[in-house]
Amino acid sequence: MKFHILLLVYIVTSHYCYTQTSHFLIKDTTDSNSIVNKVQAIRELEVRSKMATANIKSGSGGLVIDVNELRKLPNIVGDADPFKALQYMGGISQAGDASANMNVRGGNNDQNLVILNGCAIQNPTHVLGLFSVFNPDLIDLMRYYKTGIPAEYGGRLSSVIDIKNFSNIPQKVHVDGSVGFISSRLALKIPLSDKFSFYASQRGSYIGAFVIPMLIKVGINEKLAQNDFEFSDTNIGFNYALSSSTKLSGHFYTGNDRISISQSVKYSIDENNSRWGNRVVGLQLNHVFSEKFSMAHYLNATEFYLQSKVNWLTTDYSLNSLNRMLNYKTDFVYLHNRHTFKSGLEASYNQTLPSKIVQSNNDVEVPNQSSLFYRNTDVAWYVRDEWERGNLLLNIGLRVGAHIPTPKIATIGAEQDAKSIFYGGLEPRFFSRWMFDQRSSIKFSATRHFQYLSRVPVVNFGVPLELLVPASAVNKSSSLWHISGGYFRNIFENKWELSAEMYYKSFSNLLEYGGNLNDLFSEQELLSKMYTGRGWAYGAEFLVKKNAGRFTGWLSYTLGWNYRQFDNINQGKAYLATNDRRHDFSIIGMYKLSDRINFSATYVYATGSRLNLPRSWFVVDNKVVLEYKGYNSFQMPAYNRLDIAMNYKLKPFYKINSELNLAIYNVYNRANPFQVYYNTTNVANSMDFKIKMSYLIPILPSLSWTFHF
Amino acid sequence: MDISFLKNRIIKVLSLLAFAAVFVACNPDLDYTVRGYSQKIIVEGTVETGEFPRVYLSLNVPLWKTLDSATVLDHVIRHAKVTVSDGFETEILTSKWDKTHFPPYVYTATDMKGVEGRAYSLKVEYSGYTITSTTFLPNGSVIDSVQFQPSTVSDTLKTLSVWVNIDKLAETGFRVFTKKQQDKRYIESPIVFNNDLTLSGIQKFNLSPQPEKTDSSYSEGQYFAVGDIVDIKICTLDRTSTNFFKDLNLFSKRAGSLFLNEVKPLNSNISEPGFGIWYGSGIRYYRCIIE
Repeated sequence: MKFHILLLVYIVTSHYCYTQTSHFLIKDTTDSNSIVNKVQAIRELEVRSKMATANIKSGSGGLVIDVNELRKLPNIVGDADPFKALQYMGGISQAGDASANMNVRGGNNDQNLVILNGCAIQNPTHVLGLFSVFNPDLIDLMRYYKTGIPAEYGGRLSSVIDIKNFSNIPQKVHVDGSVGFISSRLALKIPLSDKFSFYASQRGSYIGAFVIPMLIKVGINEKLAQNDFEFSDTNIGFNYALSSSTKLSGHFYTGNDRISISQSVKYSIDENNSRWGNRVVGLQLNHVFSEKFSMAHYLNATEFYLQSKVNWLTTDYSLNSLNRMLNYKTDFVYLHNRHTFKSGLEASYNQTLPSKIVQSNNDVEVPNQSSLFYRNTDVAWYVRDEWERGNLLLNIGLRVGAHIPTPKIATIGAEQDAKSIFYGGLEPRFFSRWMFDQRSSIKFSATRHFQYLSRVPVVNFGVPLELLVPASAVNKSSSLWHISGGYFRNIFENKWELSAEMYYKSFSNLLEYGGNLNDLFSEQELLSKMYTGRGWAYGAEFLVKKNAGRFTGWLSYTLGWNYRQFDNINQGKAYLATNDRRHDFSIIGMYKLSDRINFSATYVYATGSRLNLPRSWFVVDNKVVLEYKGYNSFQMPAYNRLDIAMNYKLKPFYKINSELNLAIYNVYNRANPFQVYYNTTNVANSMDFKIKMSYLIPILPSLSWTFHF
Repeated sequence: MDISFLKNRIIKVLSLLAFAAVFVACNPDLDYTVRGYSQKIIVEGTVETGEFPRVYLSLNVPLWKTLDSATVLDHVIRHAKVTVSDGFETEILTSKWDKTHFPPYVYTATDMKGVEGRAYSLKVEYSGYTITSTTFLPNGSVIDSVQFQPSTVSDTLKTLSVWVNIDKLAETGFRVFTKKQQDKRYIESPIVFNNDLTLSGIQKFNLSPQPEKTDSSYSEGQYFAVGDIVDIKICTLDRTSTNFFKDLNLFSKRAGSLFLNEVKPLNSNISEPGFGIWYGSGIRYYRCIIE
């Protein structure tokens, strides 16, 4: 058992068909984090001996997500998505209906570092956030940090979601898949020898070919047929054990989205279509020198693109945005006595096109002047040590980062000089834990973070239309101080977990776009309307969780405040941020009725988002004018929703194990706001003007069939 | 497993879910009734070269209120005292219905006419409030020449451009209206030209009028047919008015509907509790035949 196995955990597992089997769980020492979090769930196996005191002892704020458990939760259109299930955790609020975007402890959505196999993903959602880009059949490990983020992670302010595809070489061929209402997926894991295996998966939707024609048959407006929403993604990868101590892995991901809306007069858009997608290709090399010393190398190339065409006010606009990154990262782990040292280096070369807009008016194309291609190099070095002695555990680290813009920026057909300003600094990371006994502990963390690339929303609600803005001579890098502490306690023989945490965050150099579409056409206007300000957020999170028995689940509640202050907005006065959520409440329940049937239900409630909506309107020069009073002073209706699901395991059919998932999303048909729009009627000297809201998903039952063999 | 045991449990679970569903209501509309609203006197007043000053007064409409033909008059101010002065004479304006405009009630002078180069002050007294404003009527701008260019949509449709001589020191912007013979009104090209006040000398501006469905030239859109006789009205505005009409396009219903991120309010040159614009407009008229 020399294949980089350090920790062997003997687990008694029970197969769903009641056969008793024994399995070893392995710990990958090249992926060293808190040891107590190293228990991984294996498909079809119920892990009985999961360390019950993990939440008390855990060495940092990180959580290892039990992917299989989260997949039991009800989800939209029956497609299990553990990434979206994170939204039910305390301190995390959903950005909008059906959205996979998240706001963590007052942070913006673009402040979440989403990593797939060591590589940051720019936009991890499909179809306006209905699905995440991660195929749940391939996720092997999902680790989540919202506080006490250790020094090996950098580049984003608020949270880390670290996802690793399946990396072990399976003993036999595995086929997983799902057939659903909107999309289907298929994943293969094939061992070619005991040293080499590869995997491939494909996922795709058929909304235009199947769902919309069916809706039209049942009487939905035929104009729907002119709209189109589709996505697809492909994963290909391999795992190769070069020796007993060295493993090479490779992966390739490509995902594409296409949305076409033929007519949306509510937004003065006559037609538009958008395409966007991520591409990732990477290699990972792990080597174990000894039982105490190991290393990992990651080499990744990524691309995120957005191509939008809009006809607005009788003019055609083509808006393109692009980010390319070549990234290399290496980690070294050294275990010594009670210390776990980890150090590494990260370097990436970025090319970013914030927005290239081509305007076609009078059938003459006029490219805008703001199509600047920003190039920059980011480098970072870190070191950290996790040290445990008695009841005390410390995780102390330092990250040194730098963002170096290239002094030349490329415009269309030419290059020009640009001011080159270096950004960077020290990011100290501190985490401590003190255990009172085996049932209770307190934890405290203080960390600093920098972010050099922001996604700035152009609209503040609904459709996620964003600009990619790197730190440059005009826009400084964003930074954050995050202080957090909490009390953790288990009761009833560790079957119940209780926790209460408090946090304070201080943001600097946040960006907000204060311009209009017209301003995107001039570099000067674009940059002058990119306002810089600060923010602060504070609050408390409470969690009650039941881990054992037929009924499991948790209840989380967050009480939070979230403020922004920009000199150019609201006359310089502080205002509540768009994602201010005073109350955020989730109840998750899972009930195992039998070995074949389990039920689950989720209920979420969150205070409505803050929006900058007008209070009144009037007419001047035959134009309706909106009167505003106080930035973001309008609060949307509260968000609440109940989802239920039932999973039913079918009897094996020719060795095919499968289950049916019946889910009902939004059981009581709550009209949660997705978009607000202005509705005007102007008939013969009388005018009426209203702000209305549209909602995306009514009550939506779904049935899907998931199989694996 | 015992079937009755299973049934019992299923019933319990479903009952629990039904209980939860009953106690939560739907709320499909935005609720504006509890939001803040303060009444403002909205002013749209203009004094043009050689024309009587005109002032339209109304009250702003709260978002939660439905305004139909019966209630619209509640928001039209018909009993105000409106006084205009140009430094040489002062006149209290008289009022009458104007069905071609919204709000459909106008206060107008009977003696005083706009003279370029003068400053005009406005005083409105209504319901115990007095609001004031001052504007300047700049000299009208000269169109040096016009230019027709073929469009790609049809051989008989052209685009129209005007060349205007700009005095940068005057700090003026322009609004341009066109009227074809078949139209009953001047139609604006919805752009305030030279709105950043940086241009100088002879400059070219492309006109793109946006006729509405009720206009006779609606089918031609922003183009002009060969043979059309087109009247051009160019309005010259001072700095304050230029900025107002530049921002007005952004705050108007069409632009505002897509982008909600307006971070600063529209600037007004009317004192509180008023809002709107009182502006002078140096006017020149031209006529051309599309070739």
